[in-house]
Amino acid sequence: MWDTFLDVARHKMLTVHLVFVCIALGLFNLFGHFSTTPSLEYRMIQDVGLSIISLFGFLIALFIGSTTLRDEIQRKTIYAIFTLPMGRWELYTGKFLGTLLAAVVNMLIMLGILTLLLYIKFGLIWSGFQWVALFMILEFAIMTGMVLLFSLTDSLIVCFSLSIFCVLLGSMAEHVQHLAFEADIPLLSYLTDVVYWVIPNFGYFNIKYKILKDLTISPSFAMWAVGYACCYLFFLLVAGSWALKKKDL
Amino acid sequence: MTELLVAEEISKIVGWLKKETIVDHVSINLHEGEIMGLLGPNGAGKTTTMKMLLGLTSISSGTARMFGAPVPTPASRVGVGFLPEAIQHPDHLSVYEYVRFHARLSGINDSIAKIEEHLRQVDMWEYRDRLLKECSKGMRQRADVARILLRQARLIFLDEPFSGLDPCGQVMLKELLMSLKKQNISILVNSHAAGILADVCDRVCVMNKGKIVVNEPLEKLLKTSQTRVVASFADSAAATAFAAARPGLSGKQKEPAVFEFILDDRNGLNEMAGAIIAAGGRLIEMTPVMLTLDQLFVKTLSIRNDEMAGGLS
Repeated sequence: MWDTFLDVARHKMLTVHLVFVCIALGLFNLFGHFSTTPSLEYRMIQDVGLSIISLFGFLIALFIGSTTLRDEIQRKTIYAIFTLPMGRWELYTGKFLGTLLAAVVNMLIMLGILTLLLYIKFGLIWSGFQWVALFMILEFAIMTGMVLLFSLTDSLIVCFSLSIFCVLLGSMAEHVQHLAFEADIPLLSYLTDVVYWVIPNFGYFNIKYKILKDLTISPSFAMWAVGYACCYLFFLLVAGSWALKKKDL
Repeated sequence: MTELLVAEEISKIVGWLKKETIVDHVSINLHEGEIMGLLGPNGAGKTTTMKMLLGLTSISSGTARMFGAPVPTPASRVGVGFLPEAIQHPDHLSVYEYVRFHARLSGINDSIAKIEEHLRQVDMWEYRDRLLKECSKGMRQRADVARILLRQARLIFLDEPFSGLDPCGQVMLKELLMSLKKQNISILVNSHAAGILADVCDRVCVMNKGKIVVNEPLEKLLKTSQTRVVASFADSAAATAFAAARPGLSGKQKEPAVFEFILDDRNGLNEMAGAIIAAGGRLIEMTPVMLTLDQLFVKTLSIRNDEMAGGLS
């Protein structure tokens, strides 16, 4: 896990992302000047900032998750590891944790920058920081697990397409469920229902509207999200380990 | 001798709709302290065989055991090292860091002394701070051997270790393999370099089109029933007369008064020696003819391909 994290941290792409996020946050801070009231400005910066962090978190998970195992296989360095007396699931889990750690560290840095910007501009300490961090970690964990699983396909394009497709569908899970209810054709209704249950529901981790409206997040809601994420992750890790075990290198 | 590796009738079949047999019922045994060469043309299935034994690729049928444990269980890989062909090393690491990284992966504690010991063993201690990207291919290979030895490997798989090495690198690697053999370490080498393998291997397996066509001790393989006889005569006329009197014998004039004959049948050796002395000649050399591994390889594959062509026609 630690080696994967260090390897990922060395990745130039992360630095580029971080710089870009800093610039983007600075720009949106500037846009805040166009708002009419300080309260609206505060909400705008929070809203845009969280959206950017979410987007870049996914991109980091996508780019790193899709290449970490693939690169090892192409460079043949994985042979040296797989000939050690260890199970493939151990390596897979280590890769997952390392990639997740990199994504989380980046997310925390970005959140830290956003919080600092808000404090500098408004003199307010963001009270919902810990909740945002928790829910984003859960969201990124599932995204990373998904990308890592899809990275075991033979093509990078397939991995990218499947990952983006699943994240988009997962972000619209409520609509998919609605479609399943509304569909007149039984087969379509059945299929959309299957998609709804198979695709991760990222709606459980979207607390942006609660943060923006200063709504409290109940412990039961958080517990449900953590439980859902753990179960889904377990499924993803088992599926990924099995796929890696069956993969001919 | 203990058998470290036993593969019985292992096969590899790939493809969904159109099935293709890459490795076809291959059986290999490797004893402790033995170096076995796996020879064959490109696409013969040598690397796939190695990968199956190492658990990197699944075995479609047949069984294999290493150190008594069934492949591909983790227990079968305890004491196994693998040096793949064209591995891309992490260039940002130094030789020492690379070996230490693998020591940590293998869960080796107090690795500092062991790293030094094994880097010295492969003559890489003085280059320990050099970045891998600044090392020659031979040096990187020696660093790899050090990381394998660090795990106390008793069975090492080498995939095309001689490719891309200059003559000095080849000699150094050969010497390294011989020193590992002296430590009772078993080695399975997959290579095209038949000439080099002949210097280090105890046993040779020749593979062609997924099958093992030869699996014998090297000495037995290279031995032929022919004998080379070199004799000198008083002058060139005597030599020519001696050769002319034996038209069925293949021979060539090496020097004006020196002739070299190849005897196919060893039973005729005494008679030949007597005839040379009777003709006033002197016996200079009488040695069994040995094939080179290159010759054996080409000969085996040509026979095999002829058989296959015959079978098809």
